Amino acid sequence: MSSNMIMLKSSDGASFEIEEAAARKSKIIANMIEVECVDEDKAIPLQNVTGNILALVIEYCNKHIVDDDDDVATEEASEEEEEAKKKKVDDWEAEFMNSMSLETMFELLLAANYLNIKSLIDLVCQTIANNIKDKTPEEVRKIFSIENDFTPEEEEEIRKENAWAFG
Amino acid sequence: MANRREKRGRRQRHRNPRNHKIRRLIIMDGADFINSMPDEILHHILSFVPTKLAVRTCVLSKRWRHVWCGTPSLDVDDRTHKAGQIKQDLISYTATNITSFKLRMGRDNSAAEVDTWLDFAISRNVKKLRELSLRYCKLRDESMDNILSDSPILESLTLCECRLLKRLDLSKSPSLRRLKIDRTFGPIVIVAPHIYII
Repeated sequence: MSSNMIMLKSSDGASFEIEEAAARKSKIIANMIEVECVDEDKAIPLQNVTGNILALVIEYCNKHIVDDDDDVATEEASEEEEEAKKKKVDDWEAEFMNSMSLETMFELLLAANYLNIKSLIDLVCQTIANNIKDKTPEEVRKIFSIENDFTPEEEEEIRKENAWAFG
Repeated sequence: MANRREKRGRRQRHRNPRNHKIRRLIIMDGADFINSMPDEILHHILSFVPTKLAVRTCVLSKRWRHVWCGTPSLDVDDRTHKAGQIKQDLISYTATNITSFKLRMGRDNSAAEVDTWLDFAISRNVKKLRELSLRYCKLRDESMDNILSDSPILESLTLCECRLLKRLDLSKSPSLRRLKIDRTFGPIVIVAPHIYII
């Protein structure tokens, strides 16, 4: 199956070629294609996304377009096959997220939000949430470089107000 | 005092942390990414942790003081957070349009307590509720009907050991795609005109 290729251009001028089917993972780009404001010879400029982040977005979209094709082909797949496939995707996603710094993660999240790619927003948010989950507020502050601008008295007061959550 | 604490905090940040992952994250020191995120994104992140942990973020800094209040998902455990205290404890929970509600009750719960929780969720508007999970709840048929008829776009429903439930009517849940039920205890009858594949 041949498919249309479209060009995306990052804010710092890098151009990327991507299959239309993969690009459609982004609701924003899908809408542009629907209303035909995509000129075949011209790249779509993405003002808010740098080249290195756009490369990650495209890697994610390409990976998941293959998975979607699989879904159609193996609708009758057995439960074990389904599970094995899901595990493969999960493993890939874990590896993908594991390979980036926290800074990159947040940039990727902003890009996914701007491009409106729901599954990618979920993946990054879930990964960041896992970083918070079992940590004390002190540890969370350290991980995310959050400056505590409460006085000890203020902090104590807020902890008291929400005592059930700290018990 | 505050000053000393601050200095200690800074020193600790550079000390060797417990594991490699944290160390890698700490290199980003001072970059302040999370603080500049829009609330909408922070809510999305917090929707992946139990409400109790989301509430704890209120002490992180002034920026974070009220962020959790708008998280559109509630994930509560009645064993640590009693139904009777919801009004007081979640007084600052201001989210409208809850998209996910997960409730786990303790062993000796009553239908009235479960109703208190459900009413609280409904009071925050469940019109956009997509995910509902009720575990170990003494759940009356009427209570279940109540929340289902208020949640027209529900996509995922999990019921685990909901002993009182006898008849589950899913006729008002046309978008339901995922249904997970532990049928050891109720419901006995399931009315599901919109389910094609079981």
